[in-house]
Amino acid sequence: MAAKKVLLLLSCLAGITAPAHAQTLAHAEVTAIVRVPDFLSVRVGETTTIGSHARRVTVYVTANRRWQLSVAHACGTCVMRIQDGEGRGGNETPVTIEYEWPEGTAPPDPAQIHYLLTPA
Amino acid sequence: MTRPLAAIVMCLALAMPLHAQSNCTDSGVTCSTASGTLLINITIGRALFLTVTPPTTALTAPTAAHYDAGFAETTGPTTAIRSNAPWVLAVSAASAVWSATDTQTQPARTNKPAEDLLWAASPAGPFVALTISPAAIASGNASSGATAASLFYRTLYSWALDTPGEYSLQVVFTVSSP
Repeated sequence: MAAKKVLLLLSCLAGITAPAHAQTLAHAEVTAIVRVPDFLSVRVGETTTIGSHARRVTVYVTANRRWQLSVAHACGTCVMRIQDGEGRGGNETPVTIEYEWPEGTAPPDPAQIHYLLTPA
Repeated sequence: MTRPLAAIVMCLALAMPLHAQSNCTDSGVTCSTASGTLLINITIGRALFLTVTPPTTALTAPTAAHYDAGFAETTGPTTAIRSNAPWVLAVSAASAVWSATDTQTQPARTNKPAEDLLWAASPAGPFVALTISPAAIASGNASSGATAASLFYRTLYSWALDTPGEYSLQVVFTVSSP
């Protein structure tokens, strides 16, 4: 790439003298440019048991853009509630998910629960 | 595309007190030699040549680790100055905010401040935030093109603020007399 070059020609016609104070003699502009991709990540945090047939899981979202969190699971009889399932860019934004399963049935397998983070 | 830059202006004043030649005739009279004084006066103006390469610096694309650290670093441009007089080199931002272009559905940040680009004269810093006010980075005397300064950039990133997009900032180098 060609260098940016600046020419400055100053004074010296008879009768013209350079000013005593500092003056701009040359000037050049260059560009700094960057493309910022989007980042979305989710980390599963602590799990606490609520009563005999409910569980609360906190997941943490890190993103540099708006996002939406959803949960996929194979527990057809479970009830899931997501608090603050949408958000803006931030680091380790907590999202609380509560599971309830019918009394007398087995709780959902945590390995079968998937957290889906998508751009909003 | 190299075009030499040199500014030389000469003011030439000639004083010509040349006297008229003595008369010489063929009568045998010895002729006197014509003589005179020629005064040449030259004024050399300030000549200065600034080179900044490369014209565009692709900043390090941030990763999640850069976001966590809060910044990413990049080797910036190099400047060289040829001058026949002392000089001071300064750097500033052409605008108070970066230009932002959307690349995703989420709008790019339109108020990313110029201060999010920091510069230093060495990789280890210290890093100084770029502003629209010129900050001196180097100075020198008459020189024939040695490197005046190499810059190193540090770009700040915030998870909460810096949305995806393409961002650019014009960086201005100015040379002035001390």
